[in-house]
Amino acid sequence: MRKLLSANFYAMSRSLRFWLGVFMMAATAVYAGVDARKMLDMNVNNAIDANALLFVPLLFLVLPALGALFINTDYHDGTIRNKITVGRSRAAVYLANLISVYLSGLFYMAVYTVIFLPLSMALGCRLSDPQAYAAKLALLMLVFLSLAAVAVLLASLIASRSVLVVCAFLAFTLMFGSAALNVMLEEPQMIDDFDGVMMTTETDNDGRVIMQYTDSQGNPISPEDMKTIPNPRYIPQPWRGVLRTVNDVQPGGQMWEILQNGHTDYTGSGSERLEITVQTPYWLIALYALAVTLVSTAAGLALFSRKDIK
Amino acid sequence: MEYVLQTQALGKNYRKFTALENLTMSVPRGAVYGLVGKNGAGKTTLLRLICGLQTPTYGTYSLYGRNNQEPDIIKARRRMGAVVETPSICLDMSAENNLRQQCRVLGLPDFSCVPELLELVGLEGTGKKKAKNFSLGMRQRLGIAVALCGGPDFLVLDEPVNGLDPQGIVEIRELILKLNRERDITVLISSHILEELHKLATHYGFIDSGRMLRQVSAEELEATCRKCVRADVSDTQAAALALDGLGVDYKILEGKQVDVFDAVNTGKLVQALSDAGCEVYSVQNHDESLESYFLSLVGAGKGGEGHA
Repeated sequence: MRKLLSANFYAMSRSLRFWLGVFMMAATAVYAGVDARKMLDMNVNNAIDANALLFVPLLFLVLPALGALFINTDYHDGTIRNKITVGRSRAAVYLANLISVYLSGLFYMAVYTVIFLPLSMALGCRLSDPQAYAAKLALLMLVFLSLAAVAVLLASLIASRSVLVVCAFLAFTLMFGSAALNVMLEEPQMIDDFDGVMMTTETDNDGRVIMQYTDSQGNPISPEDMKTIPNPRYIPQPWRGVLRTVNDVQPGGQMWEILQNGHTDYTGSGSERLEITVQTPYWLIALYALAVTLVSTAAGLALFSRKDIK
Repeated sequence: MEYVLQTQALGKNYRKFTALENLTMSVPRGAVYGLVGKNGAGKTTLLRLICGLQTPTYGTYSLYGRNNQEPDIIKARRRMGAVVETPSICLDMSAENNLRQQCRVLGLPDFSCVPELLELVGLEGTGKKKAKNFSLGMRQRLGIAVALCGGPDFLVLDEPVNGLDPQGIVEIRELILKLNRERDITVLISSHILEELHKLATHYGFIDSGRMLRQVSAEELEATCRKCVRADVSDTQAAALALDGLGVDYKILEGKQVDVFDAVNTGKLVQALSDAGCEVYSVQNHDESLESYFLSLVGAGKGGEGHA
């Protein structure tokens, strides 16, 4: 395994694409650092906290593509044959690829972090909660492990160049699919019934816009007295629970959960309804990430050991 | 005889397509074993199985006496190098870096073998030129050099001269012979260029439609394909007496034909046969090429008339 890792890192270090990714991370870190300072000047609080994790969506898209490219080059050039023919086991080849792809992701994280933090601090920005930042970073490392495991599974089983498209599509689907799912799940159970309600706007002497609601007879209605009806877009149970779990399990949903400090939900009903932010416990996200990693890797090892290599 | 590779009723199916069927073969130690077959005969499939790239559907094989179903086969594989189909090289690396990469895969303690291997395959002057800018012949030689990393004593080469120009073919041939003679490397080489194999091989395996048609040594093949004078005679017994009298090597065939293998003056031969009371109806030079031998085997394999 150590020998295969050494060969993989050597191949990666000779790859222009790998260093292009490093340059991209470094450039993003510089931009984020300077942007954090600008935000501070505009009195936007906690800009550094948000920018400290600005690399995450970018890496989420880059890592599967990088992994697919790295493993597929092994198939394309035929160099995977050099490993198996000389007696390296398929399990060792698979695991070495997984570790290499994951560590390259961590290296990208490190490049961003070691440039962004000193730069933003030199520019006068300070993290509001370094412990929370460290916890998020640690959790994101697990999320990227599960993402790498899924990408390596696909890249090891699909030997054709189409795997690059498949992995890029996977990253987009996981990321934007989970964002779309979150929007769907944020729909409230009850909504105001605007049917037959007229809305008029007036400007007072101070130039402020005042909105007024009236019924069909022209009687004013207070927004608090507005009738509520069930929201047709609301996703009821049990689907609500299922989709929430899907988003918590899949790496894209986990990423948004960490970056957005949870997700929106509602408590109570009618006029008692309250919008709240709910956070899936970090330990549960970590558990799901490990489960995805283990299941993907076990499936990958089983299928790769039987794969006909050309 | 010690065998490097032995297969026992090896078979490989891809869904409903049978690529190999009950293939049994033996590659003796120190041999240059030529695997002869048409395109699609199953040569590459066989080599893929031997290299562990694919798993047999049925049957087994052993490398250095270790069965493929034993975990120990991995140790035997460390004694082999292979170039299956295209040369397995990193196109973005130079020749030297490709060899260093393979040294890492093998876990060699240093890269001291790299300059020697580059010199052996004639790529010592390529410097930092990337493999993607190499000619086909250079890539092929680099592929062989990569396969030679770690000093294997069994080399598997799949169509190594395919697509090469005449000079490239000569270079690869000389390299293979050098490896076999000077380093005592057993070589299993597949090809459909029969005349080229004829200059290299010490043993042959003829394969068609996934089946092994025949295995012969170069000597046996030489004897089968040797040049002769074929005469149509009236009396084979009288001809035998006359030829014994001349002291030449001959073979009586069916249909009152005689093959005379030694170089003999045709006039003297006809005179001797006439003196023995044997009429000679026709005399013609006859030699069977490797090509016609193979074609006759393939014909036999398909239920046609077998080779005599």
